[in-house]
Amino acid sequence: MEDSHIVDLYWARDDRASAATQEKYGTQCQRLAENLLDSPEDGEECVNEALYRLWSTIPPQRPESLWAYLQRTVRNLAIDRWRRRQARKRGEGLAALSLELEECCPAALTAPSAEREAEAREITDCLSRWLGGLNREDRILFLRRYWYGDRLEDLAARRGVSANRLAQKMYRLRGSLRKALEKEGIVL
Amino acid sequence: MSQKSVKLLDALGGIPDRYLEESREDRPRRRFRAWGAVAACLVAVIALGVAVRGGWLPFAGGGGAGGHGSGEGFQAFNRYAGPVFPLTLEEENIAISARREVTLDFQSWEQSQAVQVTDRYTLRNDSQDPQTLEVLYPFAGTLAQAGQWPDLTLDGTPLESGLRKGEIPGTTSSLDSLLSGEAYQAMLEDPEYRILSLDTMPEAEHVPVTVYELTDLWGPEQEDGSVADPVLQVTVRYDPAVTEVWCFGFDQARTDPESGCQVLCISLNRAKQNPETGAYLLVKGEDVRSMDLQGRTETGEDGEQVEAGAEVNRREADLDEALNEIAEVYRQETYGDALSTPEEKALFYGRFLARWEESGETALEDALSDNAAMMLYRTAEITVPPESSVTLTATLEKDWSGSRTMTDTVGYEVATRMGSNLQWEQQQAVLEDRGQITIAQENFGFDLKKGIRTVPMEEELLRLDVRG
Repeated sequence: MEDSHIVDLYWARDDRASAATQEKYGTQCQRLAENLLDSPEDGEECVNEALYRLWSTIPPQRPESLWAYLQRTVRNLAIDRWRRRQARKRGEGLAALSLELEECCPAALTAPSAEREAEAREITDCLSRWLGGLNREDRILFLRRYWYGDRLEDLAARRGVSANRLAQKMYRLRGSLRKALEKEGIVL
Repeated sequence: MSQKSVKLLDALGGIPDRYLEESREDRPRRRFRAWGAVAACLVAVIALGVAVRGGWLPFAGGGGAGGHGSGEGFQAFNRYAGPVFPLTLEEENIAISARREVTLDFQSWEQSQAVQVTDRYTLRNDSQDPQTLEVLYPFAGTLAQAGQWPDLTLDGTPLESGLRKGEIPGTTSSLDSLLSGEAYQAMLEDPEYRILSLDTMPEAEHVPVTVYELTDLWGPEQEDGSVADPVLQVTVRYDPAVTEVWCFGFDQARTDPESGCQVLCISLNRAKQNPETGAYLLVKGEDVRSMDLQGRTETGEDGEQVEAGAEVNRREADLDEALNEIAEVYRQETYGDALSTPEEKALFYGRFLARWEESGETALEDALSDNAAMMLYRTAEITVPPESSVTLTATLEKDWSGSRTMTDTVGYEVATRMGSNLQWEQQQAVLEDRGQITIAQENFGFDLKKGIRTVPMEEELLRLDVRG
């Protein structure tokens, strides 16, 4: 089914929208979530949550690329889930306490402040410019590793190069990004 | 994981869809050449009646310059991959006339947003004598993408081709500041513009260097969780008046050229994965005064000392041999088969020297993975028999051009006469959209709704903006 048709189903509040999304992109989403969370169970939950999130946000959203919208949603949820897991691991410390309290905070308090949003946008813009300046091979390599969470060994095997050489390449790419961020005065 | 890196991971979530789509599938391109199998005698191929008669439309004009650009009504690019250029000859030849058909194929566009270009030329010799031609196929290419440079075939058989480089001497050879076809045209028409041969590193022949090769690196065991990312730090001291130190295989290099000190680091975790892979220091001029190896818990000022070391082998060599050896190490470990010809190696060395002179970069692999586009030419010698024609085809993958204001659209341009001295009879373009794209804007004359996919090319510069 065409993506635009699936989006139309969401807009028509037709139950088949989620099933069609799951059928078309479920495996890819599961792989992404598993890569990021290193757990099939968490990955599955994350994908289900993402499908629910799509149902809740389309409409009013009408994504131009349903695939990209879904991938972003899965990735964001995976990062949130990972944060919670980390906080839980830290036990009864402040991180866990603040996480618990976050659940009872009104949306206005937990929503990112305008300042934080502006900062995040600034970093994203700088990242996008830096990515735009890379050649396509490097850009894909960087994103496969840090957006999709592909294993270095798999990336190396697909390129027919040693993991060692690719690790050096990644090291240099990270160095180049660091320079780009510093050049634009971005302090993380 | 620190808050800083989480911020970066979050920020990555907001990058444009275009980059996500581009990296949706990880299918690195590799190219396999058949240089060895292609005999030079192929240039004397007997021409067959290969000119495609049907569908050709009259083309006005010869090899002159001028005409219109594609600028009117289009968004200006802020990332420009350059146009698809027309073939040209080393020396103008009035006995030869040319017809051209450029096919833009979007078959695999969804994966890479690059268009597959088949640029086919029918070269006709109307004279009574065979005409031997040095053909030059121009393209904008980077060293990092050497594996994707155009291939040439003659009547369907791969041509053994060379490589040349175009530049205005004394200026930077990078094309990154050229953001339109008109800017490229201005460069090509500059009276100072030259197409240079790439010989085998003449500046490097018979230049003695001392080569230090570091192998068998060792350091703290990884089980010892107290040292997460240890490095081997190599500090070399030298007299900057008489010595230059270049490196390869290190993860970080910091140079203080005034005091003659270079500090280099190798990640021991990385090195442990492949202990047989070495790192190199090339010392040109007098040997270094000292070289200290020291293990550190991390790079930078905060690192504390740990037990680590490496085998250091010292030998003397000629610079071109050492560079060839390094290029070979790089070639075997990285994408495709870049640096497999002497010209490519010469280009690498030239690019390294330019970077070194411009900004003091001492890491050889930075030149090898250089993203700066250069004006390059695939070259080949062909013979067109009397009163016959041959078909020369260039195949390439053309990267997209884009603008910040057209986030969901990418563009491609084709130049018809720019920099070419051929006598043109006809040129036409064929669009193989494969249902992958919709046209946002163009001046070729394509109309997918009406099924118009083959059009004559009459403008100087043609542009096609598409979205998925």
